[in-house]
Amino acid sequence: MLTPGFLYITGALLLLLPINNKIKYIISFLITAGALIVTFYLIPGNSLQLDFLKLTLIPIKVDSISKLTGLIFAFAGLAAVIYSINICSLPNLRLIFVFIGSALTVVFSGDLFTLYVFWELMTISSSFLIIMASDFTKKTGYYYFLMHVAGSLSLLWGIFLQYSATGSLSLNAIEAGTPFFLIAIAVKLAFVGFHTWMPLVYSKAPFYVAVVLSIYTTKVGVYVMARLVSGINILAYAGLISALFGIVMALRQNQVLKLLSYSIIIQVGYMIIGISIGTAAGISGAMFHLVNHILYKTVLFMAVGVVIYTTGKDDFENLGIMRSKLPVTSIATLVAFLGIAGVPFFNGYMSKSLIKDALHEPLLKWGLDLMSFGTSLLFLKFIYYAFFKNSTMNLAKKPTISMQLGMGFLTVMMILIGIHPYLLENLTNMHVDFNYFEMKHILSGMQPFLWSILIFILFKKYVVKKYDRLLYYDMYRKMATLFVATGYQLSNYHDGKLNKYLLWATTTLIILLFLLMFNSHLLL
Amino acid sequence: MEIPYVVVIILFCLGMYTIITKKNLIKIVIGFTIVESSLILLLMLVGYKPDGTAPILDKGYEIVVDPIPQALALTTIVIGGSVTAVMLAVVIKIHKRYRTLNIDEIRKLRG
Amino acid sequence: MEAAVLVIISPLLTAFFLGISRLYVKKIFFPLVTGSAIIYLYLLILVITNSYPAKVYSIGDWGMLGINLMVDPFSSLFLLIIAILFLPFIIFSMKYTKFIKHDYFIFAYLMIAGISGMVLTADLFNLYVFLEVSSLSSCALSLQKKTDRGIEGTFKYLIMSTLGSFFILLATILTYYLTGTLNMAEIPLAFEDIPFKIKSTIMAFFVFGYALKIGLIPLHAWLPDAYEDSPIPYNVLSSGLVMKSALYALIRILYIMFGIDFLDESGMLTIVVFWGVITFLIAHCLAFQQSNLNRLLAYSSIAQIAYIMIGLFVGTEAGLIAGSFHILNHAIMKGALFLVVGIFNYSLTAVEIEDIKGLGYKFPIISFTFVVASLAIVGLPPFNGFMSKWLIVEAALEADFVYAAFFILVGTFLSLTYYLKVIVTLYTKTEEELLIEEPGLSLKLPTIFLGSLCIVFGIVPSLPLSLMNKIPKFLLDNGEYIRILLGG
Repeated sequence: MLTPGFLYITGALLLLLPINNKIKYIISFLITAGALIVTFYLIPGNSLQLDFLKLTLIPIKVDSISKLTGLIFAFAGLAAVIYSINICSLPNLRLIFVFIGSALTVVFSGDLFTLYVFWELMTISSSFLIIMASDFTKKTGYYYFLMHVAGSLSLLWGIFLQYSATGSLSLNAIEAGTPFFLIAIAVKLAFVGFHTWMPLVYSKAPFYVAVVLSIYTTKVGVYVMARLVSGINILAYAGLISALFGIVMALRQNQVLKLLSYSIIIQVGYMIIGISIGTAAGISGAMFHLVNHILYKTVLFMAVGVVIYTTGKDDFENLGIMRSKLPVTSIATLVAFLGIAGVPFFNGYMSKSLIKDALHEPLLKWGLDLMSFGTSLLFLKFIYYAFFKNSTMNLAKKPTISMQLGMGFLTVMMILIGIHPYLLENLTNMHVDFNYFEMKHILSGMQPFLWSILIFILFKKYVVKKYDRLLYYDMYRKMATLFVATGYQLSNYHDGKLNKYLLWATTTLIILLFLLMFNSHLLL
Repeated sequence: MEIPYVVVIILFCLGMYTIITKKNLIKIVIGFTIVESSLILLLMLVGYKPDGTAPILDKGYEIVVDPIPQALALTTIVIGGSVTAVMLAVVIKIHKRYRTLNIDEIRKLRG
Repeated sequence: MEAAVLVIISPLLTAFFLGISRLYVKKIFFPLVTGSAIIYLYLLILVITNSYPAKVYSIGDWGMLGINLMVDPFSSLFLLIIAILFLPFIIFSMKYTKFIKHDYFIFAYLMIAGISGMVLTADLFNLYVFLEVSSLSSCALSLQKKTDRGIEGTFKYLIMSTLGSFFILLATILTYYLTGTLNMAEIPLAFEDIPFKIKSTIMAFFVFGYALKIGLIPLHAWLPDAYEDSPIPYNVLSSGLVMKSALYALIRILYIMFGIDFLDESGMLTIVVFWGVITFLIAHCLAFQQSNLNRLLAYSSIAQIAYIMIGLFVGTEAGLIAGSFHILNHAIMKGALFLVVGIFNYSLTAVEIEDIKGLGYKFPIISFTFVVASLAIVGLPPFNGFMSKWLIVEAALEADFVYAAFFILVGTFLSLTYYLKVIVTLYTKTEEELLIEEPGLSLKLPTIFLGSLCIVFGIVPSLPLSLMNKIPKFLLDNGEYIRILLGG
């Protein structure tokens, strides 16, 4: 059976051949479009089994959730590849293909082994994408790689515990080692405390890398969470805390890309809440939100990418160029803004109200409103700089057509979903009994948005302020210092004195004899 | 009967002591030869039988010592000789380069 | 003559004729070295394919009195490693060595003879002799560069290794004293009546002696020193074969002579697993501190050997398979890494991590090989190191060594820290103009060959595992080995 992930990886191999630009376009387009079509025609319920050593692997298993996620992944992949094809070099394009391919395979994987392997492959390919992309991202890539490998090793340990407890690798709800799965997922979806990699990477890496990474990295985490650890109610509060943290941090940034990355934390908070409710409605709300979030966040990243491409920086001031010189980008940004703010008749509204409707606890409902309010507040800042502040920026370069094309695709999709929210349901047979256009829901959807406009106008000077001191604390660096210091101490003991080495050896012999003579191994 | 074994143990410990504590390269090599001699002595003792004669399988030689340890001892002597030779060769090289035989001054490799 | 006997004799003969050719006919040097290597490869393949069921070759028709050679799956695993590493080593060294080639290849062939002897023999003293042959020639090889550091490292190596040898010899003599035989099959039968404590002491001597050669912490100090300034292709064989052959002998002695039950009873399994965990944690910490590539790889070797020890000493069937697989994988991965470093060293005399800055763009394929091999050695999928680590962790969990399994994953993370450091340096652009001596195909091909094996064995692990699945049968139950050896 032809799987979309396999198709992408084949594409990466094809790109290894010595080819010219034209063939590169053709291959890329065929692969990305082909993957979308293949995903579209996957039938829920299909699966494939494979024997590997003593394990039985299921490299592909389709159901409605994975099909929905796969579809949006393939669609966003098409858009992202079109967007970045002219900007990125051939080696990076290969890495992007591997990255997208492994993300798609993770989504369709039917057992934990395949899941782990491709999860790790995502980490590897994305890290190398960051490391190779530019000269300023070496350290960032190092940090990102280590952090994600720590996460995936936690996943691996969880898998081992699960495997030895149940003896099966099937992708059901987890019975053993849940904390380790949670850590792995938390790193991937940038949960507060595990999020340190995200603002760093997305702001330093070239913008097309940020576009590609932002589509898949966190969303794969969300998807796997829905698969493995859904319905742990307490996590809903954790999601809420994470999102509120994201709002506070996002409001305090001077760089647009950092604002966008903290806003991912907020949006992921919605999904965590939806998944943690555990009901069918909650999970489908979260998955729909995943789709919508990919659409508008990718468009926003792409728009900022265009700004960076044309002006060279991602300061808030530079956004002003949108209004005067970049019409397509402006429209896309507006649509995405209305979507992310949850305004009715735009796409974010549908999933937000779904999640809200599935909630029953008043505290969470209230928190959700607060999150919507915060989101629209911080994107009002974005919009303010883009459309209301006068700017005297000039275009250094014109944006390429492929960039605008990629953005356009996603924008059209957003508008479609906004106008016809049942589209997603029909596409995947995930039916939720919900009337999006009931007055009650529209009103409750509008409220946070209107409040935020009011607050923005009232407290404008606090919101659009430029911050000199940025909050930044990273405990992982402290841990790394400890590791390096230990190594340094140990290394100092090796000072080249042979007598010392011989003494170590003799001591070892005595300890060994002692352990064996007195059966002291029982102490170990 | 016990005394030779005591000698072996004393020689072995003496050799080990020399290897571990002495700073002079030549003395370390000497320590190794002492350990080696103690092991050869042990081999001889293992094969020894009171009143035994040379291991010739013929009439008239009823009590013979065990031939295998003797063969082993020969091999060990050869190996020990070559090890000592290689060690001394390296010591000469070191002396040429470092102009010293003190082990504490030969410390370019660290970390 | 039997092929197994030839496996030991042919490198010995080659070394002898190389010596003669150095004195009289220098012309035949090249055809002699390569021709003999190819014939040797053929012989190895012949022996490996006939390794199952296990076979015994007695030499000189002396029966049980004489020396027997035995080929079983575990020894054929080592023959396989020789087969994989030796020809690339020869091809690489031909171009790489700028010093006297004759000496170098004489010692290389002697070393291989010693190692194959160790692997094949079924006699305890013979094992010691071959061990000495291989470690002495290994010392001589590491001396070949004749630099200050090289000589100093060799001296330390020689001292420590000889110390280990003496303890092995002591244990061998004591064994003979107690049992009256040196045949590996007769010893365990005679061992049954020996008191527990005495057996434990002998085992301690064996373990100590071999652990010195394997380089478990804190017996490791000579190892990075010996690697730092020795010919780099030699490091390939050293980490891939010399260390491993000591490991082979240790496993053979412990599992066949003492038996798994005794190991379990005396607590050796627990001790070694604990020792292994400490070893790799410390080795990873130390490796991060290194600025010299050879030292870094040496510390990484220590850590990898510790993984292997854990795999082999959890005492289950799965553990033995996993450990053996990691032996093979480590030889391949470390071989590829050392060869890449060798190319860098050859082209621009790079030894420090700083020196290889920006080479990722100058040698794209070679650098890619480095990346593949280092990710494999870290244990990331889809490379071979991941497969064997998965198996080791699985085996450790199965045998209730939960802490060992957990720390292996921690170790994986720690090893990534320093390998990634090297990789990032490799791909950092630099302004400096570099004088580069172009590495020819004879340097590149062996490297790429080993690098591609990392991928192949990662994706199709059943290929080598089909050989290894038979290993536990001859080790876990020493009765099988004894029966074949006595009956043969």
